[in-house]
Amino acid sequence: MDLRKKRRIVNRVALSCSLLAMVFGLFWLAWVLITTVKLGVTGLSWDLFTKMTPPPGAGNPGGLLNAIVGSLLMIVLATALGTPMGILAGIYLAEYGKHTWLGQTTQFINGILLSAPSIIVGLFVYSAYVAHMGNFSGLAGIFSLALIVLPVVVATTENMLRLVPDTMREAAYALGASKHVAILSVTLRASMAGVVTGVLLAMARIAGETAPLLFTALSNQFWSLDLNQPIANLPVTIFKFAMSPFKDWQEIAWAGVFLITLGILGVNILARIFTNLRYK
Amino acid sequence: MNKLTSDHHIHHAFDQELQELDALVLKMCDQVTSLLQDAITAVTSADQGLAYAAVKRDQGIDDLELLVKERTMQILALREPKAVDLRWVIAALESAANLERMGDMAKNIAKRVAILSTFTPMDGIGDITRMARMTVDFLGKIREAWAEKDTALALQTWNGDALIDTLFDALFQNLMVIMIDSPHNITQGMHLLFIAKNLERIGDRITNIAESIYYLESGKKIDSVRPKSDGHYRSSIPQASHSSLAAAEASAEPLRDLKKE
Amino acid sequence: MKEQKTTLEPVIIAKNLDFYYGNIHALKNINLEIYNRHVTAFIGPSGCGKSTLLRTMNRMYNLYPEQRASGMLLLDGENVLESGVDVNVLRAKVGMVFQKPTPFPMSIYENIAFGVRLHERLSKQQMNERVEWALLQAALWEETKDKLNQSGMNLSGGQQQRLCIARAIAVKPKVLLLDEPTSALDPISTMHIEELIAELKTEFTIVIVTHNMQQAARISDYTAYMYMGELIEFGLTDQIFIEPREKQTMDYITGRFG
Repeated sequence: MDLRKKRRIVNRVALSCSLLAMVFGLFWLAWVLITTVKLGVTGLSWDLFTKMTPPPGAGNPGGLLNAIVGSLLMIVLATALGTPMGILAGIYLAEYGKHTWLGQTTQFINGILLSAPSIIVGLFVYSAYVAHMGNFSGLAGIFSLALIVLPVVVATTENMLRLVPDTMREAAYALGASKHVAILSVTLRASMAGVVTGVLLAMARIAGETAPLLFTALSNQFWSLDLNQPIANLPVTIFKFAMSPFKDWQEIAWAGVFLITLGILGVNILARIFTNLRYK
Repeated sequence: MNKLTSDHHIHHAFDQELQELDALVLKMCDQVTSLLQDAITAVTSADQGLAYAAVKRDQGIDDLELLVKERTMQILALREPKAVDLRWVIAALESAANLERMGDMAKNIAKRVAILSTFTPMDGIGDITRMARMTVDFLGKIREAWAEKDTALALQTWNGDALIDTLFDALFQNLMVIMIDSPHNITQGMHLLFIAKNLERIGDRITNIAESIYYLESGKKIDSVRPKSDGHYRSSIPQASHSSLAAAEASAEPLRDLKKE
Repeated sequence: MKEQKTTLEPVIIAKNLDFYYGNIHALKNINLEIYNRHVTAFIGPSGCGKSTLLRTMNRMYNLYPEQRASGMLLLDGENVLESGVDVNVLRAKVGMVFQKPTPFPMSIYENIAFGVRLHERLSKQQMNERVEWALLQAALWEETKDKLNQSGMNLSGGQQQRLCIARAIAVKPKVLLLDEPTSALDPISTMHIEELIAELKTEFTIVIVTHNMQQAARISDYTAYMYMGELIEFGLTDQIFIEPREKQTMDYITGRFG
C-alpha cells in the first residue's frame, strides 16, 4: 500500500515537472510568435509585394518584392540541386553500402554535415567559390543552401529506406526483379512520402538561413535575377533592415519575418500531410 | 537442445484423457468378464436369481460404451490426435463397441437360465463350462494386452481363438449326437447350442479387440489369414465326438501353461 | 489415401544438399523430390531448416553474402545452385509468397503487372487479361475487379495475401513456394488460402512451410519432417499422420517431447 502511494506521488511529481518544462518552452515560443504576428501584420501592405527594397534614407517605405523573389529562386534551385544528389546518396547508404567502409564513412561525415553550423557552410562556399570568382553571387548562395539541403535529404532517404521491411525487398526479388528495379519501383516508392517530407523540411530549414547567404549571395537592393551577381533575399534583407535606425525599415523587416514564418508553417503543414499519407 | 522423444505429451491433460479412456475400456472388460462368469455359473447351477442379476448388469456395460463414445468424440474434436494417438482413440472406440456386443451375448446366455432350469442337466453342460472357462481366460489375456499395449500377447490371443472354434466344433458335434440319440433332449440341446454359439461369437469379438491393439501399437493389420474352421456346418453326422473334444482340450493346454509363466 | 495423379514426375530434386549460414551447418545432406502438381509440406520445430530449404529453391539466400549452399538442386534437370544460373530467370520459374503479406505500394493492378513486366512484353490488352487471370486464379477477382486502381495496401490481410499469391502466379511459375503463408491471418482467411492452394495445385507445384501441423495434414499430398537441419522422414501425408515410420516424427506430430 505504502509502495503504491509512493509511486503515485513520484508519478505526480514527474508529470508536473514535464508540464512545467512544456509551459516554459511554449511561453517563449508563443512570445516570439505573438511579437512576429503583431509587428509583422502592421508592416503588411500591398507595397510589400509590388515594390523593391528602398534605398537608404528614402522617404517612401518601399517593399520586399526583389527579396521575396530572390529567396524563392534560391530555395527552389538549391532544393533542386541538393535533392537528387541526396536521394541517390541515401539509396547508396541504405541499399548498397550498408556494410562497406565507404558507406559507413559517408554516413559518419553526413552526420557531421547535418549538424554543422550553417555559418561554416557559408564560409566554405565563400572561400571555395566566392573568393575565386571575385564577387558575391546568387549561384554561391544556391550552392551553400544546397549544401544544407543535401545532408538532410541523405539522412531522411536513408532512414526511410531502412524502414521498408526486408520482406518487401525479398518479395520484389522473389518475382525476379533485379536490384535497381526493386529499389526504384518498390522500396523507394514505399518510402516516397517520407523522402518528400524530408525534402520539405529541408526547404523549411533553408528558408530562414541567414548566415550562409551573408558570405555568398549577400544582398541586392535592386531587382536582379542574374545568378552571377549578388541577389536580394529575405533573411539578409531582414538582417540589414532590422539593424537599421529607420522605423519604416524595421517595419519591413518584421513583415519579412512574418512572411518567412508563414512560409515555413505552410511547408510544415505540407510535410505533415505527406507523413500522414505514408501510413495509409 | 532437447531430444524430441518421450512417452509424454507436452499437454499433460491429453495424457490424462487417454489414460481415462483406457481405464474405461478396462472397466468394460472387467464387467463383461464378471457378467459372463455369473451367466455360466447360473447356467451350471440353474441359479435363476444370479441369472436375473446378471441380465440387469448389462445396462451398466451399455452405459460405459456410451461414455467411451463421448470421450472419444471429445478427444477427436478438441485434441485432433494424430498417428499413434489417433489409432489409440479409434482402438478404444472399436474395443468398446466389441465389448458392448460381448455384454449382450453374455446377457443372452444368462437369459436362457430361466428355461434351462426347468430341465435335468444333460451331458453337454460340462463342455459348455470348459468352453466358457477358455473364453474367460482369453478375456483376461486381452485385458492384459490392452492394459500393457502388448502386441505379442494380442497376437497370441488372436491365434488362440482357433481353440475356442475347435472346442465349439467338438461341442456342436457332441450335442448333435446327443440330440439324435435322445430327441427329448432337443430343447435343452438347442439352448445349450445357442449358448455355445454365443461363447464362440464372444471369442470372435476378442480377436477383433486383439486386431485393434495390434494396429494401435504397430500401425499394421494382423496379416496372416486366420484359418477359419467351419466344420460344424457340415451336414454329415459326426462320429467319435469325444476324441475331438479331447483333442481340443489338449491343444488348449499349452496356452494355459504360457499364461502361468 | 488421397487421390493419386497418374504421373508422379519430380520437378525439383535435391541431392546431397547442404546449406551454411556462415559457419552454421543449417541443412545436412538433404535428399528429396518435389512432385509435379502436388502439394508438399515441410514441417518441423523452429530452426529445423524448413524455411532455409524453401529459400534454397529460389536462391533467396543469394541476397545475403554469408549464406551458401552446396550439393545439387535440380529444377527440370538443371542444377540451380550453379553460379552461372540467372537467379532472376530462376525466380520467374519458382515463385514465392511470404509469411507477412507484402503488397507493393502501388495499385492492385500494378502489383500484379509489376512481376509480369519483368519477364514479358505484353500489350495493354494482354496485360489486362493476365491481371484478370491471376486475380481469378487467386479467388480475388470478384472482390477487386471494381477497384483495380486502388492501392493494394488497403485490402484486408487475407486479401493482401491472396494478392501476393496472384502476383506470384501472374508470372506463370512452375513451382510456388509458400513460406508460412497463413501464420499472420485469421482462421477464416486461412481457410480461404488453404482452399486456394487446393485449387492451384492442378496447375502449379506447391511447396509450403507451415508451423500448423494440422494445416499440413489438411492441404498437402506429401509431407517432409525436418529436425535440426536433417530430413527425418518424407512420405505421403496420410502415412506421416497416421503411421509415421520414424519415432521422431511420431513424437513431433503427436506433441510429445523429452
